[in-house]
Amino acid sequence: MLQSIATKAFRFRPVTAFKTSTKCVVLPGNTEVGSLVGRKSYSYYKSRVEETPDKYTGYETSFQEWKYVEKLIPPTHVPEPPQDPSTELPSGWRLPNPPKDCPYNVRRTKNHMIPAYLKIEDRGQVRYTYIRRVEGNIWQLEKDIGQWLQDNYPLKNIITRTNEISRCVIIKGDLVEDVREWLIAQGF
Amino acid sequence: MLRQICTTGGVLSSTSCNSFRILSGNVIPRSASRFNSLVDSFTLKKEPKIEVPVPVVPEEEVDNALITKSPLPLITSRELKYLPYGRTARQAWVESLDTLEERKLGLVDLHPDVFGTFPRIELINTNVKWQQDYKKVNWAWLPRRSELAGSQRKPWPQKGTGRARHGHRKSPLWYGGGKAHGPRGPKSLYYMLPFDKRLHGLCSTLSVKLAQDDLKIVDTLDIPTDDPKYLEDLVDQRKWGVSVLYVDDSDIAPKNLALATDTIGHMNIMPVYGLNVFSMLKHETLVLTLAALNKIEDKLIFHLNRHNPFPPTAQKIPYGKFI
Amino acid sequence: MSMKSGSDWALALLRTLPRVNLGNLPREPYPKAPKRGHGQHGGKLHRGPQKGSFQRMSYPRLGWEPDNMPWYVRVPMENYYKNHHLKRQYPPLSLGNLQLLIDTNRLNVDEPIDVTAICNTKLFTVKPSERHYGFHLTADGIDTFKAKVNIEVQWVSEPVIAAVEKNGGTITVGYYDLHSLWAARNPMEWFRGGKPIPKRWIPPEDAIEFYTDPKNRGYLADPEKIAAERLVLSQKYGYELAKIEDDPKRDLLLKRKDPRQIFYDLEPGWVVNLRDKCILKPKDEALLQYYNN
Repeated sequence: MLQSIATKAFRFRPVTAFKTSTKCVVLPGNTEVGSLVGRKSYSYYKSRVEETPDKYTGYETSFQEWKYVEKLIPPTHVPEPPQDPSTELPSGWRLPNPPKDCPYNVRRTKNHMIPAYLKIEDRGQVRYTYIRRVEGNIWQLEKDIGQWLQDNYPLKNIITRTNEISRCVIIKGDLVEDVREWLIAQGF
Repeated sequence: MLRQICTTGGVLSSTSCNSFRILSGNVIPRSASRFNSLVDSFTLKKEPKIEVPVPVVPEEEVDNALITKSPLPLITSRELKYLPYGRTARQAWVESLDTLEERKLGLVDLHPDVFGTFPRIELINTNVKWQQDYKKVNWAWLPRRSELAGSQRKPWPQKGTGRARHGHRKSPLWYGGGKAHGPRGPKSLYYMLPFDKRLHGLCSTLSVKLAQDDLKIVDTLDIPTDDPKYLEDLVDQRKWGVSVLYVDDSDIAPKNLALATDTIGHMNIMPVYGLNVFSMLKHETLVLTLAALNKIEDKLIFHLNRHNPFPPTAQKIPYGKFI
Repeated sequence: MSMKSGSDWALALLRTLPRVNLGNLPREPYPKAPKRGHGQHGGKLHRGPQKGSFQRMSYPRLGWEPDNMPWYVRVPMENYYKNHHLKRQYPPLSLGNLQLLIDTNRLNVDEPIDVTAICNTKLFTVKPSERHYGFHLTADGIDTFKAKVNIEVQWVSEPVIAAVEKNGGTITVGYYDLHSLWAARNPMEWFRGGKPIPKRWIPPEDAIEFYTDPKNRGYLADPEKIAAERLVLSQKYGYELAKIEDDPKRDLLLKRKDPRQIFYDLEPGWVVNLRDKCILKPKDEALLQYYNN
């Protein structure tokens, strides 16, 4: 019994050494430095321990160029946008400044953009416009934006609905650009 | 401001120490319980905090000190990062565990994105289900026909007996035969919930707890005695329900609280990194210290506003077919 | 502001309801995948007849015509997508999006903009594994582009060059091979691996004409010819060419990379030590010869 377990353990032990290769790569457990026991010779970067330090080429250490490396480090948080609501930027982006007595609010995303999205369903046959992150009276927003779209497109039948749980207003049709324009004009 | 709260808490503890001495009584020796391991992890691995002896102050001096220092309750404010437009901060009282009766030390502002989000109850359920399921292993196993012991012989000739034709006694058609498509355990039920669902599940649960008055905020977890009766009386008097979860910033719980909760099965201690949806719902009341509150809010707000999305490679924890 | 958000209403409702606990959570809200029905609600036969090839869904292959040569054998091959997977891809970045990135402080105009800066916004990225060779600056939003930048992209068209130079900026079109693009798209990950900064290779045979053409502002073109082409383009599109020599941002606008260089002010062959915040420069002659040629 014990012998069978021992043989099984021998058979299924993890592989520690691979085939020898031309690259001189030494296992960390190997005492003989420089022997041709190859490991992961297919990738130079993945091979771990190579040679004794005297076989490496020389290098010099410099601290002066570190300031150029710091320019390559990305920030951890999303950068703050310009804080003045009166400036008009060429891209049309504006700081949100919603009206005081509005019963609803549409929050910007964490990237400071309008949360209006296009959703394509049924292999491109049906298109919906989603306004997400609505706070407050969601039905008033549905009414207002539906009325504005109906005035803009008198020949179109504007169909809207709300999802109160996920707090979004859904409009049938690809009207993302119109909705975005309206929301920015309202100050959201 | 936070420091002020802590200092006032210290002052309070020194004033009421006389009454605590009377309440404390004998120290109950640590007994083997099912929560021993929990207490071990907090107290025995590292040296417990050395308790600084509280100086006994005469009552007259205490009154003078109270009058000269800040009056209670102390209204405090916190700087909340990434506060959304049009949303005001939610507020909660800061309490102290020094006395049996509730004493309000001040008010803290809580971030509405963490403690006032829309309560996605179905997301809470998804988190709970994940926490219960991912550690399970389905051990169900039934043998195939080749794995059964028995004869390989044809039971009777193909023709001439008047019986149905059969070639094998271990066929799935036979009683006691092998199972054709049976369970082949052990099979791991491990899966990883998407990062955003875990994030918003935590925020929703904290919001629900606060909205239902089940979230209590204390300055520290220091209690004057290690008597379990003191904790039970405190919870009874403040109407905190039956089960309480104490969450602190550090790994090492205060010695008195660790000893007091040792014999009480329904009161548990947890560090911030162990906070999870299941445990918050399992306990009726959640008690956070101010340090824990800061850490929880910082972490959740960072992930809600981080620059690069959560790395998808980190979600894929390697696992095999059998864990 | 007296507005109440939807979450306030919901949380106020929760105050009047019993405590949310493990016993009263709603069921799993997501719909289950529908089971396959048919044939007494089991999926034994695939909605087809009970016997024959149609039961086993062994249909004839598409385009099969009995007793005829199939049309796709009769019609000669088109090879529309031949070697399509080997072609160089340039994912688009429009001028409008570039302006939006600058307006929302995602990109710094006071530094030269290159593929690393654009990838560090975490909104646009290149995937060298899908044979992306860099960004293609497209003309979408050309009318509202007002930024004065020193930008380096990998593919560009003539009106875009005119739009950038009209605002007083400069543009360079440089080639990155895939190996150096792995380093350029996420330099921190590259440095963390302890790998030396690779050197950029020269463009392949079919692209060298594009990148040496002064009309395309190629990075291998003669600077004097580029200056002449800037003047030509300004006269073609009818705008006054800004004098870079007199500009206060002259140093920024004239900052260029070496054709072997990936990052500004960092040379190929250097190893960046992120822990000690220093740079290890090779001294071996063979290495220096390799990285400088």
